[in-house]
Amino acid sequence: MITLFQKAGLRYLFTHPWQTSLSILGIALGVGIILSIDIANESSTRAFDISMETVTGKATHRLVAKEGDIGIKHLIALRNMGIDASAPVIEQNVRIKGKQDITATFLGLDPFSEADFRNFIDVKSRSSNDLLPVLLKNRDRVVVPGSFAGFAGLKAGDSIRIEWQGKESVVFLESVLPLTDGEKSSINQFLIADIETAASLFGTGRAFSYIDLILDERSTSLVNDYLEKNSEILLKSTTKTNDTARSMTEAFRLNLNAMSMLGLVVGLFLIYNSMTFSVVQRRKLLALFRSMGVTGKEIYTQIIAESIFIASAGTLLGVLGGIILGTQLLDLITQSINDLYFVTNVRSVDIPAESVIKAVFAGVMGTVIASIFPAYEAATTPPGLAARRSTLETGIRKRAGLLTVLSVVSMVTGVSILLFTGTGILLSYAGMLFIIISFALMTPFVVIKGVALIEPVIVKIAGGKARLGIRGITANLSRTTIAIAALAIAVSATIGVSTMISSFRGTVINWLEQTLVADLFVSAPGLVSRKNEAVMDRSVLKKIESVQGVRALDYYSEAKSTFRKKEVEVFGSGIHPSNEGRFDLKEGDATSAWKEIRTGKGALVTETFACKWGLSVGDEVDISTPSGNRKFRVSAIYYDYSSETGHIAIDHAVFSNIWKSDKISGIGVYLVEGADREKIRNEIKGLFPKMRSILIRSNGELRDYSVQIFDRTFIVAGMLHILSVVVAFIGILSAMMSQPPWECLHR
Amino acid sequence: MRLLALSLTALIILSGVILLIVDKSVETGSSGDLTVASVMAGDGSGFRKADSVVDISFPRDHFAHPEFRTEWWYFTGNLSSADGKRFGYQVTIFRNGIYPLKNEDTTGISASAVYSAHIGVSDLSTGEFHSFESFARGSEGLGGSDPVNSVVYAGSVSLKYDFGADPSRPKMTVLAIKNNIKLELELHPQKGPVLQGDKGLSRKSNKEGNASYYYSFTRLKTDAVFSVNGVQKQLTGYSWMDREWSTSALDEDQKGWDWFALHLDDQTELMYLRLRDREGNTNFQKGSFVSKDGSYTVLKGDDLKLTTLSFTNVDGIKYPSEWSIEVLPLSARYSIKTAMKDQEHKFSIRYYEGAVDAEKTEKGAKIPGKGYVELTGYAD
Amino acid sequence: MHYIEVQDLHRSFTEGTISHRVLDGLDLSIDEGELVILLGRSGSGKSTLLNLLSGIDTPDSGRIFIDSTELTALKEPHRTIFRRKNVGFVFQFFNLIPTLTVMENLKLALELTDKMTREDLERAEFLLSEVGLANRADTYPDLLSGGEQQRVAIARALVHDPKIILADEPTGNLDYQTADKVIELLDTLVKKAGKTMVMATHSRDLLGLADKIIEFKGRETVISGATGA
Repeated sequence: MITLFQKAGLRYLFTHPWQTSLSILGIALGVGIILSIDIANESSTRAFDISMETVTGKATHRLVAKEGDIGIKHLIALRNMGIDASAPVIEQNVRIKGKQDITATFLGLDPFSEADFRNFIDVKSRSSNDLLPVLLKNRDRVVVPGSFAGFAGLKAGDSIRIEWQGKESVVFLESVLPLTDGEKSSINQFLIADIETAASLFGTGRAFSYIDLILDERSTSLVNDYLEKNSEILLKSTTKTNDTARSMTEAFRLNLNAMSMLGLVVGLFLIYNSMTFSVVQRRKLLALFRSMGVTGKEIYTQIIAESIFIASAGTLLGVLGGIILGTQLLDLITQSINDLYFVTNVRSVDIPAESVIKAVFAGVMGTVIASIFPAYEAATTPPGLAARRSTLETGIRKRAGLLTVLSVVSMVTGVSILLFTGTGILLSYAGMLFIIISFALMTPFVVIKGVALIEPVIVKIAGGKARLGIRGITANLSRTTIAIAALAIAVSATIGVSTMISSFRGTVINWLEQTLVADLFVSAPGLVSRKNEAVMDRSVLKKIESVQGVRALDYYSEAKSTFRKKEVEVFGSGIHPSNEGRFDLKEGDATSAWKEIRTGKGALVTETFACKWGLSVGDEVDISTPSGNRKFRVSAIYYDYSSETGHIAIDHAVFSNIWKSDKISGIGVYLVEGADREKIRNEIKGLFPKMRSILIRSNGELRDYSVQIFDRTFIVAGMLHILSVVVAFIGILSAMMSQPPWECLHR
Repeated sequence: MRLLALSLTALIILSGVILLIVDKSVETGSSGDLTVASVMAGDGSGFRKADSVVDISFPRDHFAHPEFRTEWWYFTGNLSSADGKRFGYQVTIFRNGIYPLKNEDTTGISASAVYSAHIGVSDLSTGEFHSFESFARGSEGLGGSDPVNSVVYAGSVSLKYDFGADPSRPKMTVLAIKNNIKLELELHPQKGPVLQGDKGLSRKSNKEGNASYYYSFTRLKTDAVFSVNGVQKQLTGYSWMDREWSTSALDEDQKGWDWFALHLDDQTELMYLRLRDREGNTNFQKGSFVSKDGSYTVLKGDDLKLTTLSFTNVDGIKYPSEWSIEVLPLSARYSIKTAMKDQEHKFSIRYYEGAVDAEKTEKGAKIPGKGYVELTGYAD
Repeated sequence: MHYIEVQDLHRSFTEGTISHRVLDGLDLSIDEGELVILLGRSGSGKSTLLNLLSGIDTPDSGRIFIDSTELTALKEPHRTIFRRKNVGFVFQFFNLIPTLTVMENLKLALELTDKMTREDLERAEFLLSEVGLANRADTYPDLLSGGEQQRVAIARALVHDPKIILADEPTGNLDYQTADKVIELLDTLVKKAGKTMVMATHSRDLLGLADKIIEFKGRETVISGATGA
């Protein structure tokens, strides 16, 4: 049973539809943004986890060769030791050719080892048993997971053209596997075949990409003993592998979350706005209630109840909107992850209960908290018509002093946090929050002083009538301060985010321009932009050099190594002496550095690497190599953004000596003045008749491609900050709408 | 106040509605349990059937027959240590063909079959039953039958033949390593191979075509070393080895079988096999009796009568545990009892393989013995 | 003790730095059923006294007793609860809750005092018809004229059978004819019903009704009898 008092309040909400709707919309937007980001994040993380789990399966460890593939003799040895839970896998990324090329992971599995690991094809399940004869007898049959078949439009019987490292082959889809639960949220882009099929396709002979293991304490020590006698292989823990991969995306996702918080904060600000306005507007009414004998507590409860009503409506709307928005965002985020990290694809949106609860909680609690002060204001409305607006305004003036003090405290707190804590992201955001709050709190003071300063100037320009308008600002301080603060936050958010993005973008473009100095870049196609998986043989260097018009070559190779127990990338850089100067050095002298590097004693490290490990010029880095550990002196530190964690670069001759590798990952080709770039490009292409998709790009193309990826990555950020601006705009709109003459419309 | 309560109620209902919309995915495992019938019956597409008498010759037929679908090298035995501790063991290497081949290609990693191993060790003094199953791809080094090196293996379970002068009576060495146990067996055949059924063509039913090729080494003197967690025990005793290969051995209506292999102290052996229908009744039975000198008699269905005397519940499955077998031509009665309750393998197929105690009553004389029983199809 | 008793009441207001003493040691006694008129210019302290008598405001010092209850000794929210049970207020304008109908406004007053018996509802209907607006029971206040609103206000002030009625310039906003009507209602429903009423007005036309007149003249207050002599 709703009392008349409550009825009166509810009716107020309904007779002021614009105000009420704007409040609801504000919450809806705030909640929607948080939920959508959460959903997109959770879905993509889940998809990633499922992908990793699908490939890793239940393995606890993975045995790999330090270099290349791991031979079958190790598997036989393990089996002879009684370690049966061992599964060899041949894994390669391939491209399925069609109207649109699709990347996929080709998995060669041994069905007789798989039962404990993955459940694609294993000897324990009835459905697989029917497929085994065909898969084992032929060397060109594959199966695909149901989700992938749906996504790629494949059906049993189809022939599939696949391309791998420039070579093309045809395989036949024998069957589509039944959908698993995990495939509800992610698409498993796999082509699965018997391991022999993979071996013949990829020419791996009797070796595998890795051997998955499920080990307990006893078997782990057996394997460790075995490793001591076989130093060319190493044992990795899969949880660590997964964690490492996942942590790559953590920073990305944390930033998204922070952005979404921005949306909520602005939304809550809006609520505070609306509730305050509705209280201020109803002053006379509240005074009447008080005169009639309604207690302050009853009024307080009523206002809070109203806020809960608005919160419910807004949150419900926000949740629905958030789910829809989340779906859209998911595509964007997945694309970014694909670009930057690894191949994954999300099938459908996963709406985790926790995310919804979190968003609902934020929406409702946020609204209630934002309404507490206005409710308190309402409750302490003095009864009777003696409640003049002027007393309210004077009240705020007095409070302006207190608010200014709080503002200073907040500013000091924020700045201290930023100065004295380290580089932790969360703390940095906290510091920023305090600074933003400080600016908001400063608004009354600034407005009062500002108006006092401007007034004479305006009056001089526009005449005495203008005074009315100007004074109106300070006269209606209760409304104007909030509107001004909201606008300020929106503008600062816009400027802040834009500045960050454009500044970073500028730095990246700068770096690109400095790095991409060569005229042409030659590489074998890698399917995921971060991993340069495909390599060329060393012999191509001479071939390219002999093309007329080619002045010089820079080239590099990559290897994985360990530094302070973590995996790092080592580059072998073959820099033409004339190009040594193009490296943008942060620390160190170019001439002496290069001298040292060429002798094999020195190494270049990137800025991010140096920052992460706390290195400066002169420090020693100790990295693992196939022939044991090797020390290098940090000769110089340079700017490079090609990887998050940074890398070490040593002289190429030294590199190939250590890693005994003849493979080149990338070549930069410098042309003589006035050379015909296109002609030379075609000539180089002609040197590789078999590798049809060798990539030769001009520096302009590469730069554009990199910038494209950058922009895609930051689309989400850009979108979010636009949304924040919209929320702020709505706040201002609602503020303006409660100024006269709009006020009269409400009657 | 009431408005507050109302609003909160609305909110709770709201949350409930939202949670209903939310997708909750429940992890379910996918199972693909196999039954004896599903593995042993069926059309066997492309594989050769055991439908005619062939010339079983050695050493050739010690090794794999890739034209057939199912094959095994089956060892069971009763062993005891010097201080009287008794053990029963079973080591089996299975070959299941995925597609038929005339000759197995043992190079590269291509495979046409899966070699699996089952190991069971019954520690009769403690009641402990060690049970292991493993699978190995039938390709070089992992699993296979290698006549060149005289070895048949599935991962860490291997059987090596040592052919002396007589290829039909090789010395065999079996090694099985699993988890924390290790079993090494040296087996010397005391008698020549017994060709079961009709010169080795062993029918399993009255219907044509459902049969296997089957021979046994019925008495193998065994020396063994059994280690658990590194603690070794020297054991001696007698073992039985069965060799079978077939494609479809069972009828559609045969649910499983009971098989007995007994060593009596008078140096004779008995093999008894009966197949059961879906109601549990004997559908077909046969056996063989081996005399002290190695000569043997093939027993037909009319010659035998099995009576199940009692049952035990082993982990929810009712298995028979005491029997009496009458061999009419010999006027002998064999009383058989399982030596330990839990000797059931819970693999992708559940079956009972365990040590038994036996006593033969013949012409008034009671002769003790030991053996093994295999009970399949009770858990389906 | 008198029905309403005021002892040594002081009240001043501060605006900026200037302190304005509105009531300076006022003593007053009002008997049950009396109609007391407060006379004086705007800002002279009439409204202040009404606010103090209803508990809306608290004095700087002094005591107020209403039917033996010491109002000034009560703290919030007890003062508010006392007011809603025992005081009926009629203001110059904006008396009614705009989002409730006429009848709902009356019922609200009843609801606040937890009085909602059959008898009370009948009284509401009776009062509404007495003020001549029974047919407007379901109308919202913004559709009523100023006079009609005041008449409803009177009904609302009486509906919960309060101890005292306070009125602050009830006819201040009305034209001559309507004001007459309102005065007539006040006479019938309040005076003739024997209710105690304190009314503030700057119009001398109402003096005929009064039992006591308190004139606020600057710093003085002059209390005189009915004739104003």
